[in-house]
Amino acid sequence: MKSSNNPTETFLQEAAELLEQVEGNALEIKPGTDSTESVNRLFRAFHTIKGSGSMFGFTAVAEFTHHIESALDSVRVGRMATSPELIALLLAARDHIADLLASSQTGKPADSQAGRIIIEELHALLPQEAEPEPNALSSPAPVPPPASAEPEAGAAKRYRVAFRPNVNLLSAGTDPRSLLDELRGLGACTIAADASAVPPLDKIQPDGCYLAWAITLVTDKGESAIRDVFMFVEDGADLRIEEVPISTPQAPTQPDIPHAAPPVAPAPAAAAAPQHAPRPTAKDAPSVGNKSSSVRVASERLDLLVNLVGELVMTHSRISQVATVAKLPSLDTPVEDLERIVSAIRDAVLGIRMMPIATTFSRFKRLVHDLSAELGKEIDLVVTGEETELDKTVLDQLGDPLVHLVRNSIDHAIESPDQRERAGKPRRGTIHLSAAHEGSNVIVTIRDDGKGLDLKAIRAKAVDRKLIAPDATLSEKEIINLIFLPGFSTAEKVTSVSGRGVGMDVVRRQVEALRGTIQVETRPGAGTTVALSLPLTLAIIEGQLVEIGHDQFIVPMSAVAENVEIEAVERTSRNGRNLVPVRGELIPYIRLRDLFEIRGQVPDIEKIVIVHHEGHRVGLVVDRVLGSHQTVIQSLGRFYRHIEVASGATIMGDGRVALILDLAGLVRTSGQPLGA
Amino acid sequence: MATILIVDDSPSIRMFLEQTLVAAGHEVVTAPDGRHGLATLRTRSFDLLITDIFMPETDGIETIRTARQAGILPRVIAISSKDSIMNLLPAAKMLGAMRTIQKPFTAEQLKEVVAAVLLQPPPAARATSGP
Repeated sequence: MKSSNNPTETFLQEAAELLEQVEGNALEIKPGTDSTESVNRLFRAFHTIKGSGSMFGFTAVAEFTHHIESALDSVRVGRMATSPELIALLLAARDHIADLLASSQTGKPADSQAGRIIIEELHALLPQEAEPEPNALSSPAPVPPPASAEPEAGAAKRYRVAFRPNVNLLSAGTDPRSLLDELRGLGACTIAADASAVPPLDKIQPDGCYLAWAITLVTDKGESAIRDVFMFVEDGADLRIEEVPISTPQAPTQPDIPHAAPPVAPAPAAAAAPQHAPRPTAKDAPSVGNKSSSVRVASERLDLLVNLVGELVMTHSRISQVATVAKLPSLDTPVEDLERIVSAIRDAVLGIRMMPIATTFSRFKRLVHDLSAELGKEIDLVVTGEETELDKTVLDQLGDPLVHLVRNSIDHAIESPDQRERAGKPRRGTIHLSAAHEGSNVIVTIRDDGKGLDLKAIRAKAVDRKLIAPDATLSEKEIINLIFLPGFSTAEKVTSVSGRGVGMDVVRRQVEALRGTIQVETRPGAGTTVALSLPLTLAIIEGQLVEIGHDQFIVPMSAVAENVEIEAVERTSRNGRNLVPVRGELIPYIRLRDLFEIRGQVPDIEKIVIVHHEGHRVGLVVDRVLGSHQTVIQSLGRFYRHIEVASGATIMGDGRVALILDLAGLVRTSGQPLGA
Repeated sequence: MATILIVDDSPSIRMFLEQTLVAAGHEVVTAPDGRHGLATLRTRSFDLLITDIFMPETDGIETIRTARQAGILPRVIAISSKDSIMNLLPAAKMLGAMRTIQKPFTAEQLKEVVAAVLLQPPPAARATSGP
């Protein structure tokens, strides 16, 4: 390509190249197979020709190409199937664009008829255009669609117009043909005349107009433009204009013309006409319906949608609160309907973002293969539950912690083949990666059959690092949980695989950022299981609404075990630990009122919400429990990022903000040791 | 005079933008797609990013979004075609494009929009919110 510094010349070269691509891509399409990529490339090429062409004054090229782009868009969204005809037309369109470009240089006008024919034929490939001529008229007089028909534009709508003029139309000086011509000027139209009302010869008035017309019109000018055409002839005429969905094939057999009354009785009395054309049956529907189609959408557009749905949910709850206060019974039904629709929209939108975890899991096959080879280990990866679906935002952030955990298993847990043989285990180790639904959570587990965690070594290391006192009594679980403390690493030497300063504390933080929890179980010599419990979505949380003073908080429902009442006397302190007896068991509790320094009258009977946290039961003391509440999560923004006790916030129906409590953060902040 | 990065997959549009803005006294760097544009954005700072919305691979929306997430916050003008099938300009605006301009436009219109945007302060860093 020779260089030029004139944008117009550059465009001509660019267009020539793009047209060459078009040819190649059009020929790549194999009707009946998935040609998404080729179609997308074609779409982009025509899109660029259109956009750049319009910039440099190639208006005819831009206008023509716009139609091709529209047609390709129909293919992309599955409204039009690929076919040999389509390929031929795309190639013809390519040639026509080349002609148009050449004519701009030579000054010789291109064949404008050729372009029009291509557009019309493309148009005819759209399923809804494939409608037969109305044929049930007693004396059909179809008027061929005019050659100047404009194909439907983006905002075009289809109208069915039934017009039976006043019998005296002609004597009033109106030529109905001029009306029909005007309609043709509005867009592509098909006109059928109905002569069924023409009376016997002896009754005929020579100057009477006995014909009626059924017109199907596709126009972007709107219904009022159609009405304007008939403005001066509506008197005594029967005019019906009806918008029909553009994707609905016209029911072909029923003439949609008001049946005429005999000429003695003037036309308006003719009420026997079918008011509605029969709805098309499934049999009439075009066969494209059975082809599953999909649209690729940038994920940020979905995020935008999710945010808007969030606002919709909040607005709805505000409205229902207002309706309750207003005590207007007439508002009840609409508000209930709104609730149903809003929740359907919310589920549908969140459903769009759900993706199978298979994409995340699939990368581990390669990872396990490469790393085990590098370390001289023999490891099989077994994956189950790949079809489990999670919100894409969760999936995106799950990759890193999972990679770290799998690397840990390969590097630290699974022994070398010789060591395994000596321990009486198969030479090949196994890492089992699985996902499964559990209520509103997804449990992802990484299980290996390696040597298990060395609890003694962990404890020794923790003492060495001064993380615990040498004489501390710790349960097995508490020792395991030491590995999540910042800066903890039990590997004797830092290998290239894991280590590198990224410890389990980072993994835990990543999981908690997803509002998930992490649990480790180990059996010496037999293996380790790491279980991540993750929410299905980060957009919505099912929570229990609680109140302290005038402040409201949300406790994640997935953690709530039960609610109990306590009186002030029941609360005890033992060795500085707050404990409350619940059915004979002493449970540590956190007084949110104290933690958040909320002042005001303490009720005589407080409620304790018992939650599960890392295998322990913890009580959260609140004033009142207000019930379950599904809320849309709003992030707190960067200024509040350091706040540990809340993972987000939600706006309540009355406009107040309720913090969503982060249990892990609460426990850390309160300094309350777990376990009785 | 300002430093401007132009990201557009069409060589002719790129050339038109570059010539127009250089003639108006600006320093202009061009990139043929979002990926190269982002790479350039990371190496030096610009007063203004002009990006086409509809591009193969990394499109304009993604370019703007990725730049903002990386804390790169030039002023942004987004370009798209008139009566395009997909109108992505509202999305671009949402992501912080200060102005949008639709093809076809003239050199004069472009200079006007650029001058107007350069008069405004660059966007302030803000927290990325979302679920």
